[in-house]
Amino acid sequence: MRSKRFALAGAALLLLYIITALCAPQLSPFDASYRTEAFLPPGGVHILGTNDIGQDIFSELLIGARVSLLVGFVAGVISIGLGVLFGVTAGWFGGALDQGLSAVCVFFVTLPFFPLLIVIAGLMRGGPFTQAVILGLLGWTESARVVRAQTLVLRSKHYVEDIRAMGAGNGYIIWKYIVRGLFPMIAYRFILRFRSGILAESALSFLGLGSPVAKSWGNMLYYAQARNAFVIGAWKWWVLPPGLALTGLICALVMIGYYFEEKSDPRIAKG
Amino acid sequence: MWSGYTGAQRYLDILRHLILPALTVSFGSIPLFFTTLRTSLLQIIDEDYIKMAKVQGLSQTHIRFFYYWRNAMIPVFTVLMLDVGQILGGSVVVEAVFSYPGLGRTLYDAVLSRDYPLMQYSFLLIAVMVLLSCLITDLLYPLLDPRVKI
Repeated sequence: MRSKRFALAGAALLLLYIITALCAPQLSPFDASYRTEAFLPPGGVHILGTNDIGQDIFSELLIGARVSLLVGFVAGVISIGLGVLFGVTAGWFGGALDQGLSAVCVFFVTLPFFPLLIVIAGLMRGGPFTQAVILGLLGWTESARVVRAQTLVLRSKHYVEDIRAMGAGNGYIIWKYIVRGLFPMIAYRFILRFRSGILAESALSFLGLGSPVAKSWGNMLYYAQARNAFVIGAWKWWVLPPGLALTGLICALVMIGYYFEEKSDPRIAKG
Repeated sequence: MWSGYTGAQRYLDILRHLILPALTVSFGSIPLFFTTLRTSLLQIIDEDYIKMAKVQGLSQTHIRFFYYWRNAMIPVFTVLMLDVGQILGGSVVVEAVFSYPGLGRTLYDAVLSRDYPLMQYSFLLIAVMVLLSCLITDLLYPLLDPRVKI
């Protein structure tokens, strides 16, 4: 199966990023407090040169993996947690609860996501963790809708009806049959939210709406743009590396995501 | 308005500055439409009415336009109209990068200068545009797909 090999390659790449993020202080040649001459081109001890305040760009790049992974992961966990909770509840119990939750979901799905995010991030002005929580709280509705639809499908399956007739409780069926049955889709949605969390964080930081002291790839891009890296020709070592690092991480997640998407929807595997 | 040009020259000037931002925003959404159209075509390709059309001996172009295209367009159209929200969101970043004086740029400037009323109203305007595009989709749907009635 081709998608399985893809997913393994993606997982290996993701693992590389995680190891980099975890061991960043040991791997990076210079500390964040270390400062030397600003705007140095690559060469010598500074593999990628230095930034506008004389910090080593390569070290910045390694540390930056932490913020992206943290924000993506926390945003993914929160939005999938809420999405599964509300989606399964709405799909399984139905009635007024279902209608209320669906109305909330429709409301959030129609709202333009990113402008709303900018407004809230502008109001809150928090660090990466706050951003992750905001992303998670705004991102659960789409997952909830999909989970609800799939719960309705699973609920009408014969084996679920059988196990219900045997006297199994709601909690037991939901945990053992619904959530487990939905697992590939939940994993796919998690990867999707992980990915969009990383992208949204870097977009916010790039716009200068993140914490100005947090070392993230989006922030590096922001300072590169603000300090005219394109004009002075520094973009080759100041803009490209964080951009490529982001692209690589997103590619890794997409590769893993395809595998779960195929698992959750057999129709795609055929095509 | 910003350039001091008038008449046709002004429109050419506006177009010239629109090319790069518009291309950037478009490139972001092309893959989405590619995959949507692909899946929707794959679903149609096995349908009986396509076989029937072939059996009837209709020309390849006729089948393409009136059978494949007509039916494959429906999901693409839905995605297009739902994507308007995403496009407006993405255009905030693009407008900031290209210094393009649009609604997104206004929102961005308002956030940076902590102008809360301006921030809220530009967001409100974006939200209204998205809602209107949803409404237009719903109204246009019966034209594309006669089975749907409002």
